[in-house]
Amino acid sequence: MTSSAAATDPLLDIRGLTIGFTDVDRTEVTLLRGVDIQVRRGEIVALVGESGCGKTLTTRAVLGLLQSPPLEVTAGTIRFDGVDLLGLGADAIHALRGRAMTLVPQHPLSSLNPVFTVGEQFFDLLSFQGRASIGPLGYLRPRLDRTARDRNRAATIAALKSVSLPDPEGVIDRYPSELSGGMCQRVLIAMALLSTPKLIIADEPGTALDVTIEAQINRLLLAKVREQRTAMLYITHDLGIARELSDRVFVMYAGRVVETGATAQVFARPRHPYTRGLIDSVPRLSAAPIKGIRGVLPDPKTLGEGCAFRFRCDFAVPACSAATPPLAAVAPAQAAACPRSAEIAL
Amino acid sequence: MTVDERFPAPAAAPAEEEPRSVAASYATRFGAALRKSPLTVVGFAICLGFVVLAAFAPWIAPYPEDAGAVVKFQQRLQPPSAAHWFGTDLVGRDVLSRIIMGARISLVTSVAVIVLAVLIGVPLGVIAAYRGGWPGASIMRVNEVFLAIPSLVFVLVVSSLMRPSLPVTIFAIALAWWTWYARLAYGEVLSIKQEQFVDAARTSGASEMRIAFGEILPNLTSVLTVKITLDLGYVILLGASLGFLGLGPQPPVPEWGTMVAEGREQLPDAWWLTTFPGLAVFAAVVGFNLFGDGLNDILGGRD
Repeated sequence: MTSSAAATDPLLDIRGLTIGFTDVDRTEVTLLRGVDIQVRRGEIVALVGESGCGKTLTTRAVLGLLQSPPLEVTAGTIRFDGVDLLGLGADAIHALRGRAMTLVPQHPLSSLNPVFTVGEQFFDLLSFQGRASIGPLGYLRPRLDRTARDRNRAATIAALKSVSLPDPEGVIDRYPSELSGGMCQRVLIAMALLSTPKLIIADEPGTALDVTIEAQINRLLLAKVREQRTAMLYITHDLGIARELSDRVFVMYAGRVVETGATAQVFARPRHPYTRGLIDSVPRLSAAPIKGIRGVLPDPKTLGEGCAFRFRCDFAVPACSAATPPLAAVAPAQAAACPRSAEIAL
Repeated sequence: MTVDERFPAPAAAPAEEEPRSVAASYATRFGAALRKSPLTVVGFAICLGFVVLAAFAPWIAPYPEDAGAVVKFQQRLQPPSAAHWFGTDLVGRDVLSRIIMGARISLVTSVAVIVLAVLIGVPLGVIAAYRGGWPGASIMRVNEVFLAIPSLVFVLVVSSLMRPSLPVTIFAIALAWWTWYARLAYGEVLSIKQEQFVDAARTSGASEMRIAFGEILPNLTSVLTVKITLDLGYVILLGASLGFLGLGPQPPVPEWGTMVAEGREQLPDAWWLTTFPGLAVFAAVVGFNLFGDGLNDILGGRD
């Protein structure tokens, strides 16, 4: 499906994605309100924001993991490699998932099936990845085929080696409960890289690990992604990691992208008060007590029109409640959704 | 003080463990767990003895021909003795031999019932929980209708509608028993399908069928193993109850419940006619119960 023009198109193009559900009292609740995110080929993009701002919801929609019902995409498109994901049949989505687009999940220990060894989980992936309907016979055939077993074992050991797992020959026969969180995450990264995908979605892959392991995992992920020239959408609430890893950054607040731009530029000169608040909230060893952002995320039910951040914003003016400010270019390669963005960049 | 002094290295590096197969290491662990719980060992021994008795009944029973319609009037209603440890019945057949031959019937009944119940109940429960929606709801409503009727009453009704025999007993009990497996699988799958590894499998492109039966179902192995072991005993009890009420396999089949019913008229004089078959039922049920409970402790400890 890749036409010649597609090479310059973004690999992942999310436009106006709106997701909501109908509550028990029949009110419509909108959780994502027109999200625009683009990931270009081979680019590392960070998606940052507080818990509950819609980062994970966005990625679940891309991966086709939305719980529907009740959640429903009410507007917008998700195009991946020129293909409209939302209009795709189940089989085509299966073919795409797990080959062209893979996931490094948030909780490594619970993302591996506890009753299969690492080798068995790789075996299924190597044998059936991206193939939806294999039937019971197709499920058994590679298991009975000695050469397939040997080939898969060798491929698995190579994959485990490539993520610097110590003792791959030992790990292959272990159950996930016998591995540490960091080892599980390495296994999952090896799985995500197995099909040399075009896009890896990493959903806070280090959050469940301790900081030193998290740093190792991020370094590994970055190295592998650069090596394979894979694009990566990295979800995190940790600005430090976003700054370190990414080429571009999207900042989300209450179901909208409020600021985006080249990472260095956004961090040097944030143009949205929320981004600025987030940067000021990062603890520093030397600095005075952190500022933080007052208040909490608003309830999506009572949000109404206007900027969702106005309740917590030091720059809020009456105009902020009149209409939702659109994402507008504020500098080359930087856009922010704030009418006073010029005053914020001091 | 250097780091090395504060954290001295262990005197000798622990010897590298010999590489063992996964199966072997699990067998060793199972053995170790068994040793810790003597009651489980007792249960396991009873179950094993029961299976051995059933498998080799004709060679173990002192008078295997007594299982059938044999008449030996000259030795009728003899009390327990060296020749007939459990005495003889109304027509002179050896009670011990009939109990041993009856172990086959009980084991065949309960294994067949459980196999049927698992084959019907587990897939239905998995589909009901995983698929949800109206197919899931209808499966579970039908299941509840079956559950609402006490199983003994249900089995009595079903088997009294047909001519009593071993296949009818098996069919009747299985028809009542699948509901428990459907419910068990339903509950387990409902919680397992929320696990992250299900999402992970879905993002790798696995089909719904493969997720349900290839990823989720294997997670039910331990609960199903425990349930099956416990149920083997309960089904023996239910089968014997049915036999006692005259709706199981008909005489001269040496079904334990039927034997108790036959011997009831000779109480209290020929006590051995009811006591020994009754004890056989008791031992089998207790054995499977102890073993099942022990398995539950061993397997439950894993998560």
